[in-house]
Amino acid sequence: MIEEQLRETFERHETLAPSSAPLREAIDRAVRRRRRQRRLTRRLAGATLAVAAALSLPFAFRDAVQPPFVGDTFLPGGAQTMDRPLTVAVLGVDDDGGRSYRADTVLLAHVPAASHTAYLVSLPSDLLVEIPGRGRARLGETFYYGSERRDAAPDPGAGAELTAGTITAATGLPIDATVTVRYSGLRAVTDALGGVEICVDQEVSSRHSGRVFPAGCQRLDGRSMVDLLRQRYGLPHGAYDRDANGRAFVRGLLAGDVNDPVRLARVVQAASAGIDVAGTGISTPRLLQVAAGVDTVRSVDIGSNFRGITIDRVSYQRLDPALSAPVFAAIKENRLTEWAQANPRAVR
Amino acid sequence: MTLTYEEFADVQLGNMLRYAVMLCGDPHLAQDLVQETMVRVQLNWRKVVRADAPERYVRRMITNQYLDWRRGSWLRRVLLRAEPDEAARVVPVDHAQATADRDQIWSWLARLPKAQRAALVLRYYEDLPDAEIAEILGCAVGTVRSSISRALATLRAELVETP
Repeated sequence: MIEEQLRETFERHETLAPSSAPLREAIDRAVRRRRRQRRLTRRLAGATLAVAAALSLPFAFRDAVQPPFVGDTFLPGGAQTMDRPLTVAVLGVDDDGGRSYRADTVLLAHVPAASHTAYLVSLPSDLLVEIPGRGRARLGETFYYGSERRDAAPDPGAGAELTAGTITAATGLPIDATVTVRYSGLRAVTDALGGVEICVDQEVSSRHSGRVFPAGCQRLDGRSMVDLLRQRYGLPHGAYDRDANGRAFVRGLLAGDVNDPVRLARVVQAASAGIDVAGTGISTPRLLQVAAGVDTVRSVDIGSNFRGITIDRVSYQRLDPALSAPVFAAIKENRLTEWAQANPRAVR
Repeated sequence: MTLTYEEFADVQLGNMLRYAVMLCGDPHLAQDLVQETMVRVQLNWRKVVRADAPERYVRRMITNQYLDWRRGSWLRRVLLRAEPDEAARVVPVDHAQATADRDQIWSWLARLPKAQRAALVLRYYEDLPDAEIAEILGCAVGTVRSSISRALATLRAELVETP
């Protein structure tokens, strides 16, 4: 009998339910807002690594800084140019504690023959590609497919190689070398700066160390910083909040004085631990020589409104050939310098 | 032809709101609960639609959110968002106690542990079989039955005490 009363009670209170039309609009509004945030987050997360990678090229190799890690492979005063163009793929990789690797950032750095300018072309990590001998994938996943080893630690070298081959298949550009920048380098960079001040919006408690980072600003060493930046679970919006903390880290990093050459040299040395260079058509010393000769870095826009496509419920991005094909052709034919002069609006 | 989010919302949004009202006992909390869940449903629609029964999947999301609300951040967010005078609403007992005698059961429901209330709603409002209730609550069928019988015992005791 209590059961019957329960049923009645529930039914009687159905009238309490608010009408669904205004709620539906509120949901759609909230979704639009979060999608915007999410896009922004993705772009900023990519930009974070792009900044790290872009910084690593000119700064790491610029002769004024005398990067210590280059050691005897670096010839003083040997800032040379190449008699042929050079294209390097810079891969910003999330190494997920060494278990698996994904390239969040894929950046082509192209130095035309006899040029002191490096041009950066960024490819979306969701770019639809055909991995040679494997099939359809997102560009960022290529690194994972290449590096994954059954019952063994991943092989980042193989990941970089497969990614380079896939880029060639997708763009027609031969890749002379790859530079892989790992997140784990962030710890060493933080320590080299004597700690970085980070301001977080909300308290973060670490599942790994049990440490609680209060909301607000704090100066952290590399170990604590990586601990904080790894946290995702327990934050109200999970990965979004983690990305926000990552951006807070970059803000703190850039707020520091990175123009001090001594400090910069220390940072570069630290970052070198997280940077691998692998060449297919060029030796590392030769690559460093060319990089040391680079005094200007510019970025080439191949269309930021990447067009999306969904295949089997996976969404990919595609390049706009009208914008990207001329750039790729100019790179291939070693006339990017001329192209950049003719198209100043596409170059920053 | 795959189910779209729009088609799903057309059919199910009202049902989900009624379900949330039965869980929370309060229309405003129910609205927040459903909005928060449906935003996630829409953002992750591809994953939701892959489930065998999207409707059951979403009901489970709502239930989890409801069960979590004291432990997790959800209630805190609701509290922070609410106008100061609205904060009182969070205690549904007050709201319900003012209602007529015949709504006594409704007010007793508010005092039950949340998992027990959810089990009652799923069986006596949604009329779901125990196996499905167990799936939504993420527990064993035996646990569902014992929650329900404990909840019914509590309600019966209240009935006897109240003249």
